Amino acid sequence: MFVPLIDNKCCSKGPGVLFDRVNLTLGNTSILENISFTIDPGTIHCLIGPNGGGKTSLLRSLLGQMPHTGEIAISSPGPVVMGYVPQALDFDHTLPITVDDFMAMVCQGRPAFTGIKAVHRPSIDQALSRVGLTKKRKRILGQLSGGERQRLLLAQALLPFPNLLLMDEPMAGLDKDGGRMLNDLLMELKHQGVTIFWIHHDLKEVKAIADRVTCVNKGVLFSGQPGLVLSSQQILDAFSAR
Amino acid sequence: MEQQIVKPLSTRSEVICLAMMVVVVVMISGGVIAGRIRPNDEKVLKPHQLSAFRDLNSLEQGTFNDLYAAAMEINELHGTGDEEWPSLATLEDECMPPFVKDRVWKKRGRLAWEHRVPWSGTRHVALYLGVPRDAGSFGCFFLVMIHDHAGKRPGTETVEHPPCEIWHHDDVNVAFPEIVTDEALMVKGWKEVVAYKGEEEVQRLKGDGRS
Repeated sequence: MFVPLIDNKCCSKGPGVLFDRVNLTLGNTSILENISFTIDPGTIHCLIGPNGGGKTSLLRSLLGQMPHTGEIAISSPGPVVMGYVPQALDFDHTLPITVDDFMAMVCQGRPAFTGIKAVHRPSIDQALSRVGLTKKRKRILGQLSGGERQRLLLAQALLPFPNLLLMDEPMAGLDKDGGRMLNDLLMELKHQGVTIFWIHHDLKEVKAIADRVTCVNKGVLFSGQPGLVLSSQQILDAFSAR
Repeated sequence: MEQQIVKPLSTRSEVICLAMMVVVVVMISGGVIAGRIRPNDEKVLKPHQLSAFRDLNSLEQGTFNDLYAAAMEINELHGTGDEEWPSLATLEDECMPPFVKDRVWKKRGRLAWEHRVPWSGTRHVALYLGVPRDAGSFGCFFLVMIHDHAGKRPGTETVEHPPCEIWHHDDVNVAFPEIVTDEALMVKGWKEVVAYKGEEEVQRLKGDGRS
């Protein structure tokens, strides 16, 4: 039975996650094999590994979007609210949907063209403000740059406010300011007790910001504190294993 | 502390849902189709009746069909104007088979027609007897036209009966029936010809009948 490392004095911490002998096979291809590690509550846990190593598949397994075997258990003192930042936002660039419309679609059941419900407006304002998109809320999605779209994806993941945030390479497309904004936001979320599970490629940044790191290439190559496990040799082994 | 297990993606519920929808659609469609199927209205022949399809040969079937169509015309002609029954000469002038003497008439045994209009109370009745002159597998046809002029006379508003009866006799030497009731005709050996119905018609259209 999985018992997450929860600080009893701080019950506002997000959920902990256990991956227990998780396997994933799609068709005849084995994507993940015997994945076992834990994500501690209220920490930033980075997932690294070479391309095609199964990082996104693992994240999507946690979202319940993959036919995995084994057990993925989420332990939380309260209800689990997940936020998910996908790798990219694919859409028709001529689609006449503004940033506001997009946020409305995320929050409410009624059609976006009827406007944002008053009850959701404060939280949408706050989310857009946190990612620096307030001034561009009337822009059509197709007119946003790649970095702005990435910020928008981050903003939608904050509605409703999550206690478990899953991010699939959110830095892709972000400029320096965007990267700084994201780091600040993540630190802020961490202080609020949000558990963050993050696929990332920048090992320097992982070392700086993550509490734990797990390297996946079909199986778990190593997992632990970045300062301890991210040695040059291990990184070399991980990224040349394929 | 609450613990929840992430369920793997499964298409099981979708498959079950889809299968149930298919079953429901099939059941509804089946029900609708079953509700629209008409019961087989094939007539059960009585001992004094013949099946036009089964019991007549192909030439006799042709004569019967022509006579049946002619009966409708005769009924129309009688129902209009001075309510006279058309004579044989009129029918021949109208080129109405099987009364007109054409090649088909010759092929079907050269039926010699005799026409009588007996007095029958409130009813208008006309009789047409056709006896083949040629030897062969031809029988006699006897057309009984009955017209009540429903609505024109008191008490006839609800009278419903077929406007004609067609009877058949194998004996070509049969005499013109003096009494035209079912019983009298039966006693004389006449058989009422019943038109194609139900499965017989299907069988006929499929070309699987006897000639």
